[in-house]
Amino acid sequence: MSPGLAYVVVRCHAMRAELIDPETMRSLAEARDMEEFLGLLSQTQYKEIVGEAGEGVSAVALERAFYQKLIERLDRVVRVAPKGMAEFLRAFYYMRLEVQNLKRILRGKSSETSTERIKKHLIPVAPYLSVDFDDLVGAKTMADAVNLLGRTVYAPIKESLGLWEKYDALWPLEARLNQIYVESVQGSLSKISSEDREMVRQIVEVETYVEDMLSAINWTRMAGEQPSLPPLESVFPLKYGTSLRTIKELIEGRDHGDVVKGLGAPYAEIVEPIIVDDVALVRTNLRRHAYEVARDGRARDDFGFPCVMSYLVSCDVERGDLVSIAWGKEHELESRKILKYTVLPGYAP
Amino acid sequence: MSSLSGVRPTKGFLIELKRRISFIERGCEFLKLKRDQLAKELSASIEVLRGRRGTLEDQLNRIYDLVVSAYLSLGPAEVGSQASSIRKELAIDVLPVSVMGVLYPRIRVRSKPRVEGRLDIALSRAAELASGIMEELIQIAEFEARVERIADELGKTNRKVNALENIVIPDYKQTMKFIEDKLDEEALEELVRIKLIGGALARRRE
Repeated sequence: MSPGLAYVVVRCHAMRAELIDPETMRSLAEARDMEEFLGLLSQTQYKEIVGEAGEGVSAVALERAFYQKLIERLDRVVRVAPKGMAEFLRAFYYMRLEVQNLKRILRGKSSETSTERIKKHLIPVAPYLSVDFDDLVGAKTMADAVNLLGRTVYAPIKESLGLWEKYDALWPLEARLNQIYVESVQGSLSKISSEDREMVRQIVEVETYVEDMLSAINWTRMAGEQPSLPPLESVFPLKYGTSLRTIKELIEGRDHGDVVKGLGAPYAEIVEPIIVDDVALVRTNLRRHAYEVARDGRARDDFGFPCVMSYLVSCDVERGDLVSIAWGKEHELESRKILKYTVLPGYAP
Repeated sequence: MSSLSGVRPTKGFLIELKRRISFIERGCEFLKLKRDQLAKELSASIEVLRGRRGTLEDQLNRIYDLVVSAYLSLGPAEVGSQASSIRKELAIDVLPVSVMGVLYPRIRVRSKPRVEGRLDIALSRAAELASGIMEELIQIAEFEARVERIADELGKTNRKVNALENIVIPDYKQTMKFIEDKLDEEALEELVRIKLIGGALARRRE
């Protein structure tokens, strides 16, 4: 039996102290090199990871460790959360990570990549609604892997297999997985109170809408090569009410700048970098948006679901920033460049 | 003089030397023509290379920026996973082509990797740009190989021309002069001897 909301809120308040504050994150981003970055990181909650990894650790190994830390934190919250909230958090986080893994497995299968290489790219998370990842990775062909998924909640992906075969493209399968994820999150919203749903919607809706826009722009580029693409609605099955119109405008070739200006808040601000072709900054803006929505939610109610959600969003933002910084330091990028694509350092005093 | 040691100062040897020097001078002229042609090819190739390389470097910087920002926003595992989804690889044929006897590779693209529909938008732009300049990049590599080999051959030809003009031909000319002088001296000696014998025979007859 779950200890109740009060307990999980108190746990989240306590665990918040383990998070890296914006000032420290800025120092990490401004570290001279990988050695200094690891030195600073060893003074945080990640000291065990740095100790285990040792000298000469790669950014890929660190990314895996940062994911493990996120999953560990997630487990600690989900284990003590009330039933409904735990179900929602599993659908929101575990399924998101699982969908990412499924995409990586299907990519590997489509190009007949070796099983070792596919496994190297997987997030170290246990299967949630899918079948065992080892079975999927071990499937002989792409069709076999999709058939294995046919017995799970991801069964609708089989409908997109024909498009994959016809266009030799992965986007129909990935778009379908995104759709299944969003529908599942929407379905699990009933597990939380109506006041809390709004906060989640603000995060998921904006993210889905923006990702659909990015896919539409990618689509217009592909359309030049493949004029006989399937109908728009079959790939963008109208996840949220307003997105299809914008997507149509983008696909029909309307100027990106005009479309972005017409979007209004918060979309216009998030998507603005697309005008200068900086998709990576759009994704950073999305993470910043989620962080701010969670922070505002917590400011409204620090003793309920927003406090839990804010903690988990902060954990995910921290992971994303650390992955970017570790890769940037490994490749000796300027701190200015790293800071541009990280969220937390922007909140340092 | 060491170059003159073993020289037989005979008319036959002089005739052979004259034949040889005429052949060497003709060869030297051909080498000069080759040198001029190679220099012309080299300067034309460098001009082309300079122009194309500047444009290409700008495009490569743009691609590098896009790839870096994709890594920073998606993470190395996601980028690695997406990159591994590209099935068809670049296939090329390398054929030898000759310019004034200098062999350099001519590269023909048989098939390019297909990136459409396989990558996220953050990477697909970089992949499209890279795919767009792939043939240009290969042509630049071809030109660089061509410039390198022509420059190498030009250096060799120049050294050969200099060696022939400044060492071999003057040496032969010196040897010829030595033989001519020796033959002239011998002819003079012969003349003096004949004159002396003629004078002695005349005196005996008197």
